[in-house]
Amino acid sequence: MQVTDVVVGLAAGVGLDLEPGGKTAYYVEWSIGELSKVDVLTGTVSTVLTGLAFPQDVEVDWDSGQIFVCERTGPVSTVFPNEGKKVIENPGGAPQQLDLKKNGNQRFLYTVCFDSGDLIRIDPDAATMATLVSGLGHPVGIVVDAAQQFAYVSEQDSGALTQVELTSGIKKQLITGLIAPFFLAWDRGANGVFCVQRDPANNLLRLDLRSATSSVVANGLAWRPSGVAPNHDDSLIYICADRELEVISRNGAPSIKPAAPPFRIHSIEFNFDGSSAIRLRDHLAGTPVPTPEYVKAVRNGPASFVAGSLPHLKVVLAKLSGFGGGAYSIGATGSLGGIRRKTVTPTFGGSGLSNPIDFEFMWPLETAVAKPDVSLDWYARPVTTPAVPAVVGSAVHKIYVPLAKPVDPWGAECWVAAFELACGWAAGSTTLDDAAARVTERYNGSGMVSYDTVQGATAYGYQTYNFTEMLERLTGGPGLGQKVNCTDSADTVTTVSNLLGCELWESRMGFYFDLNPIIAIGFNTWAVPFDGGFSYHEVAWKGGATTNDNVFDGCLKVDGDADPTTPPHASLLPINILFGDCSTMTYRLRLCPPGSLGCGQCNPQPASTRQRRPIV
Amino acid sequence: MQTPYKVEEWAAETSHGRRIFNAGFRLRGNELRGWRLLKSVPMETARGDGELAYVWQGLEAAGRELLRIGIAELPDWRLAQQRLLEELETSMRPEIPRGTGSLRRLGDLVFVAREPGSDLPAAITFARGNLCISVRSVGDRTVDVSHVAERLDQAISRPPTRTELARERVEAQSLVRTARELGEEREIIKSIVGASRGGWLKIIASDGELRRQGASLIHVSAAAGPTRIETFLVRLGAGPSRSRGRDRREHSPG
Repeated sequence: MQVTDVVVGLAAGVGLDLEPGGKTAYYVEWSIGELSKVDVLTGTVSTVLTGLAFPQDVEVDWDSGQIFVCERTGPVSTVFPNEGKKVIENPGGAPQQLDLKKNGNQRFLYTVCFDSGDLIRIDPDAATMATLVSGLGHPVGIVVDAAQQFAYVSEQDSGALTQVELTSGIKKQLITGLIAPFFLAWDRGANGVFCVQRDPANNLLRLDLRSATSSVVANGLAWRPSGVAPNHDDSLIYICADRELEVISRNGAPSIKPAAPPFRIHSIEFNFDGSSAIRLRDHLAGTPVPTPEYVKAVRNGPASFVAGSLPHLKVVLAKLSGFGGGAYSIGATGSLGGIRRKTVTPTFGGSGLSNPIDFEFMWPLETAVAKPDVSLDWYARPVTTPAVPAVVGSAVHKIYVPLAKPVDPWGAECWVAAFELACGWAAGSTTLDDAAARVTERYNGSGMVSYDTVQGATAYGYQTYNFTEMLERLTGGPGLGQKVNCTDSADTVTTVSNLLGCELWESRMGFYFDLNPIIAIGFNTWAVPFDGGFSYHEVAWKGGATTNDNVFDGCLKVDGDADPTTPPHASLLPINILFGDCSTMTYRLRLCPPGSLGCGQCNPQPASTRQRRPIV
Repeated sequence: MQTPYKVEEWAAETSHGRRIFNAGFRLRGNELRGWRLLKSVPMETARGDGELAYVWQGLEAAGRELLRIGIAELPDWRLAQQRLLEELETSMRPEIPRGTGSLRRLGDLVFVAREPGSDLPAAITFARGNLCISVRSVGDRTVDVSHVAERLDQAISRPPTRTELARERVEAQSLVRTARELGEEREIIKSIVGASRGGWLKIIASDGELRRQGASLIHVSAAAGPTRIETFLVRLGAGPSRSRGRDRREHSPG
């Protein structure tokens, strides 16, 4: 089997419908709410309707030309091309695939609803609706036989193809073990159905209804396929995937001539005036990351945005000989959903470059720490006439995603190398406490530093914190050596966490107090350092760094059991635990023994020591 | 924060260092045989005087041996001892002991921390004249740093030997100032920066005290009468002489 692109640059393509003659198809794009029509022989696309709300499927009455769509938000509607839509019924529950069945003048639209689990039948002419079956497990695909006796439904919960008797509602799972089964289509003889399996399978199956067996029609479909529409003899099977509409062919598909690009992406700027981007700096070179961050064939620098934000970018186009003027629909597909398509009428100056054009990501960034490599594949198509979308650029951009705006000691510009470390250490964190916890764990377990059991000396600075050298050390270089103490550790946990938006402080406790056995960073044995105690200890501390505030101590592990003064010991890395007093078992009594020389001497010292050391 | 260090006694113990002054003392990479200088890093201290931290890597242990040498240049010996106190008080070890045995002779004041178990001197901090120097083993494998500390102390506190004078590019000058009374101050060098440009300036007086005041170097007489002041300018490009043996003692965990 051969798989060939028909249309590229889709913004989450889902359902499609192919005319019986096999020349025209309609498809919907979920992310941008568009219904489009494509000549599948030439690949020319024209927009039918915009402004839909997460359309799931399109179904056409090819005899009358009437077009139906359903939207994730609930309604099933009739579409009036380039004008609008009229809601027929609103079953809610997130209707998915549509299947139109006709018997004489009687028409029924069948659909299944993902959220409610209902199978719905709609009379589009009478504008009435009936719930035929309930209790399906997140159903998505549906086909109904010609006699309208049975429906066949793909269920996400069980990964099954389920036969539903429409009159009685009796359900029977025919085939199980399917991988994210999505939309369905009858095969030529109506003895089996084609079933799209989404990622990770990304393939097309044929499910034989008589033998209840499955066979692979084609593997290696474009990522996240949804819709399926075979032609009259199954020789061409069209698949609507997330970013492409493609065709599976046994004997080769019609060759579609790629469009000449009218322009190309010249540059992309994330950190422009008024942008929400965090300004970045190459701390070794001592220079800001230059903007535009991306210039084709020149550079490709990173950018940073706070989690949950919607990044905007300024794009400059470079005119090519294929440019014919007028308006273009421009957007990009990509790993985070791409860039929201918009209509632009570019004008080019004498240099052949356009003014910067504002675009936005399709979706806000996830609310978690991350450092994704964001792929963007850009497409453009003239909007006034049917045309083939052209590829106009492609690049991968590194985006650092902290949970909130960086906090002191970070100033106006944050270091790229620091983000690389921090976003890696805390990847996936969705709360600031979780991020600080992961930073503490990763630092303590880094294997790159160990406690200075000789002197407990501050190695990376006590006036300012030489984070440049610590970064080098933590990433495999010599730095200022392997040995660290509590100040170095508090500095690291605070500085790295605060880059992600945490609000920790370096603060001390003391002074000259006895210790319980601990496991110092870089060691795996219990010991009491320096024959008994510390002159001081410093940790990353929340709030006012008082007895009532929690600490993150990357420097050592304490005994987490009921009696930290004696063996056996249970190691506990102090992560977001209360500093406390000398009467309850908190951080303080785990670190020091009870009594005047231990816990009694180990007092928070925020007034004189709470700070966020400037970094160099 | 109270301190266990008897700071009030330190001045009384200091005699030699009062009349030693070093300006522009830098490690250039050829001072320690068996070691490779990886980098020098400016570090900020409390008064903003600054310190240079040098990181050296042992050539024989696949990078497992690292030395961190911190050299802080202060205006006078008193401030160098304050810097020494800072160094001690930013260490978590409650009371770092004074040097004993042969190490007792290091610097004007010396504190030696030893590795638990092996008892190797793995961290030595001393003040000599207007310099505060720390030498620490900071690698995966602990090394005895005493020889390195001794070499540095010799370099900053003694006049060059005849051999060194012959081999190094050293400009030596000597002058005698005669004071009329105790405590009389005289400007010896108008611009220390200018005088030490392109090299390291070592000044040793036969008595009294040396201190930087603004841009100048001042001598304060200890008594009425003459004082010999020797000035050595060691030009860059030539380092202190190398020892024949390795400047370290190896430690193999038992």
